[in-house]
Amino acid sequence: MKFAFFTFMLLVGTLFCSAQIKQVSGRITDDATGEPLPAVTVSAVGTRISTASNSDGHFVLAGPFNLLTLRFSCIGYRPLEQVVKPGDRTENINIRLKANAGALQEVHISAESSEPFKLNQQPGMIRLNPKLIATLPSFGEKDIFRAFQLMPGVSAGNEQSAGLYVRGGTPDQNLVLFDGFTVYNVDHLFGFFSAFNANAVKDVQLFKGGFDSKYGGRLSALMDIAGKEGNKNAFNAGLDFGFLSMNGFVETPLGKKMSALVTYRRSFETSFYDKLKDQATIDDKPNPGGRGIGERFRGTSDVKSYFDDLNFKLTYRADSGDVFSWSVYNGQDFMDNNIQSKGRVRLSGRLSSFFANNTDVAGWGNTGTSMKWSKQWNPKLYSNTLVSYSRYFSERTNTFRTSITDSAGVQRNFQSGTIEDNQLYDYAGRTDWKWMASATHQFGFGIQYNYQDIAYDYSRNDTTSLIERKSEGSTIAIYLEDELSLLDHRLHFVPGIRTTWFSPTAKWYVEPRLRGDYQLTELLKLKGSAGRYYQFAKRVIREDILRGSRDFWLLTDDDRLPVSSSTQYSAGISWENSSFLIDAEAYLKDMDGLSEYTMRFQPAGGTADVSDLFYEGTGRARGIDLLLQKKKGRYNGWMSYTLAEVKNDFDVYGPESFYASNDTRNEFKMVHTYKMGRFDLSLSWMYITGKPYTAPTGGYQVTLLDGTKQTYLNVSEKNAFRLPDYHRLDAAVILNFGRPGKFNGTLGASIFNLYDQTNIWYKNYDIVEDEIVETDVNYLGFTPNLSLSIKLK
Amino acid sequence: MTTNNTFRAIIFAAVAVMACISCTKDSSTRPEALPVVESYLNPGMPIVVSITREILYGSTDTLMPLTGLQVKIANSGQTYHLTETSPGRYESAAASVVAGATYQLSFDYNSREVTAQTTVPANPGTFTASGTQMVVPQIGPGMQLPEPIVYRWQNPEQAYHLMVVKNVEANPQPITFSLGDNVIEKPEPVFRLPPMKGEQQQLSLGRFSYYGRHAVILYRIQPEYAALYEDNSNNSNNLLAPPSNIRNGLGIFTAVNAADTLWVQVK
Repeated sequence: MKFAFFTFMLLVGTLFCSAQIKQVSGRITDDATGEPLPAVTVSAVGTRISTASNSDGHFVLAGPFNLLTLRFSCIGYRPLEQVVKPGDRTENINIRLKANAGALQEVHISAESSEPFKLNQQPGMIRLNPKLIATLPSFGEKDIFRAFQLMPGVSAGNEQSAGLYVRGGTPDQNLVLFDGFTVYNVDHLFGFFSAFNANAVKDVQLFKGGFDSKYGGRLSALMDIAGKEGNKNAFNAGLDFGFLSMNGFVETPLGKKMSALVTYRRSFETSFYDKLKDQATIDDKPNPGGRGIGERFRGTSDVKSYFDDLNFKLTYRADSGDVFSWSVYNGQDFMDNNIQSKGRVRLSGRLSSFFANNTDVAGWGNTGTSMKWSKQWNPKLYSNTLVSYSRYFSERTNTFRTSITDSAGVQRNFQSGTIEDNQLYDYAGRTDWKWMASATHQFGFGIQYNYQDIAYDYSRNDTTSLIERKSEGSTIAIYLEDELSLLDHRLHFVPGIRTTWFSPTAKWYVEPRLRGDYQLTELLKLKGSAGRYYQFAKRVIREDILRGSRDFWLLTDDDRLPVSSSTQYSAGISWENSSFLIDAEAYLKDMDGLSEYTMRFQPAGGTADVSDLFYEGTGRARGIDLLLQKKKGRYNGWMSYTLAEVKNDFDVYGPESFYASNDTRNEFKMVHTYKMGRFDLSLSWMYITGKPYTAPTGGYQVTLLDGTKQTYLNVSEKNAFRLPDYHRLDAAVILNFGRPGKFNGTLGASIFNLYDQTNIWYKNYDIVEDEIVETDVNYLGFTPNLSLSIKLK
Repeated sequence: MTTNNTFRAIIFAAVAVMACISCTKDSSTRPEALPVVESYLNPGMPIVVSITREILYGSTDTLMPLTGLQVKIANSGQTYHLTETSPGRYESAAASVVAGATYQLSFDYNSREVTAQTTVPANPGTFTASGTQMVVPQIGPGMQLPEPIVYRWQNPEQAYHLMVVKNVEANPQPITFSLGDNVIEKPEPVFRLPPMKGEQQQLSLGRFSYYGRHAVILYRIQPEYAALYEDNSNNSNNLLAPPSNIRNGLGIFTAVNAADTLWVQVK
């Protein structure tokens, strides 16, 4: 009897075991808000099989498995384990992750990960949870770009540019996508803040290099920002106050299938705002010790300036699994700095009366919108289709009219200044598909169409048009990639190819891409990537040594403005356990077809058309990023070090290659955060090699044919000098109050540049009677800040 | 435990690597001063090249002539060595300057070869004036300014021309309209009209600051010299690289060709 019973049990057991789980699929959402969670790591415990959820929170994990424990982990959320047994539901599993409660529920703290960043998912990729950056020191605004600047490979010490200098690239070489549309202007207030409101952002992924063939059109890095969809369970609203701006959001379910989110942020004028503004508009200020009419008789100016941005998103989720969403972003800056002045002065012994009128009006910003339709056709096939529109504009009128009447009654009028107008329109449509063919193959493919219309006008003294360009063009890109999981899932390998047709050159551009990683041991991983990248719309820098360079967007044409390209390689190793991560990655990026505009080198006789003064060059960036991160516990943070070099080669600046303006040799950063009851304490310190710059070096005289002596100033070779090293310590204390789900908020105090280090931004040169007057223009000194955030839930 | 040891080993290795590689130091020393060349080749005149040194920003140097250089001029396969007649002044009487010929200048300074090249322009040809004198009117009611003098020449090739006007009196008398307050600075007894590509230019009384005899010289010049006038002010809108046709140096090496001098009397 006993034997018969055991035999029966064995049979049942065998049958049970043979009923294997072929695959599991489902959707992951935030428990409190019902929002789908992208990029959640889903792994089968005890195996190397893992995947990540897509932008709608869907995941599929292919087996076979006998008994499966699924582990879901995501930064900002408590990890969750769920056992799936044969016979259990394996399709459309609903997973709800609970957000880290932070200081409000202390019990679980030691086990929770409260790192704002997640590295090591893919080579060169960093993910950020905007909710968690509030603990980092800041100017009083939660700023996602500033937070990224604390990571290795992303250059910090650019207080005047929220744009990212990634691995030797410049901000315009980064593709920044917000809900699928390209954003061209990524900052506010002359670069102090990023243009993205952290309250409207759900998830940010930064690929420092080697991004997949799904994306193209930029040389360096990719930032993919997913906007929040809004709370699907309950109405919620909140307000943030800082010394600079007020920021409010409202999110609400609209019926059972829809949700909406609106955020609006606007600056207001405070002494702190003025301080930042004055810092940025330094060239409009009288120079200390300077002489001259315009300076001594400056009128009182009432500068009006503000920035604002608006995000709106509406999402509809049908029962069929179709998701429709409409996202709108509008952000802009405005400045009005008109000055009128008059006076009387003795000029070279003559008494003169003087009247001046300085017009300085500027506006710049970006508007973008996208409509997206995504569908999970079945657990293995997912598609995402969107149409989008993006418009960038930057306008500046800066003219100075003077009229001097001398004692003889002779009136002389002078007019100087510049007018700039840059307009960019980008219309796009794309469809991306993902098909999980088997447990080892996942195919991605898609097609993308862009139509761009870019115009730039630059004129001097109202009358002389220096540059007048207008160009239109379309690109059609097709890509295919295969995500392979080989050698018992030790090796992940993603070969891909992207090919782009660009109408102005009527050529195809082929971009092969490859990335992969190999799990050497449980904790040790090798990784690498390689790829070719092209850029068709680019930002050109108009070099201006005296007043700081300015930039504008143009469409390439392979004539004056070549299509830029880069070839990137990276290789690295990482060691990671549940508490620590050590990561090292080396990279090399060769860039071709870089453009710069300068009026310094006009051919003899001034015969050239100034609109042709675009110069072409190449660049090479290489370096090593090192990171040590403590991910868990009351105390966490990281230390990072980057050894890097960026060299450019432009024939116009001479036969030798020179260090690029964003070249920094050593960059060391550390961030420490500590949780103490309801308080979050944080400290960050950075040390960065000074940046190179070009400067006047000396002067000489030439006797002209009429016998007069003329003085000329000589300018150094390109970037021959280096500013002093940059370093800065910031600190912040955040008090968390209230309870999650009920009224709650934070009160923060932060100090920027705690030990008041004088860091030089650039050097300003004024020429006064053939003498050079050099002035250091400094970055911000010791600056305290307060901020308050409150929300209903 | 093993994990802990591995971890320590990796940390140690990382710190060691950082310590080794972070010591890279960049040197950004000030560049060496460049030589400044000044030479105008003129048909029928000996070749003279003056060479000084750039005054570096922040230094207390004055204009320093560069002495002891081996300066060469080459033309049509012939090379002439210039001799230093006074500090920084190099001359050659042997080499003749001919219109239409191309001359190459070269010398070594600080282990770099400094070179420049210029072609002598053709003579401007017939140079005529609509008048030879100008009378300063008395200030008062019914005052009439004299007609400007028009200067003409032929220029079918659209070459650059420069007109220089020099007062040749030993002690020139300034033209003053007594304004009561004698604070007007004395201008130089020489002035120029900006280089231009046209075929005529006019001189009005307002240009003259002195009474007496004036020489009016018309030069046909090369674009590299015109560039010196194009933007000779480093204004605060743009710091321009100084116009120069000297490779590895600064200044000007150019050729001019003057028309016959005309005269004007200001009374």
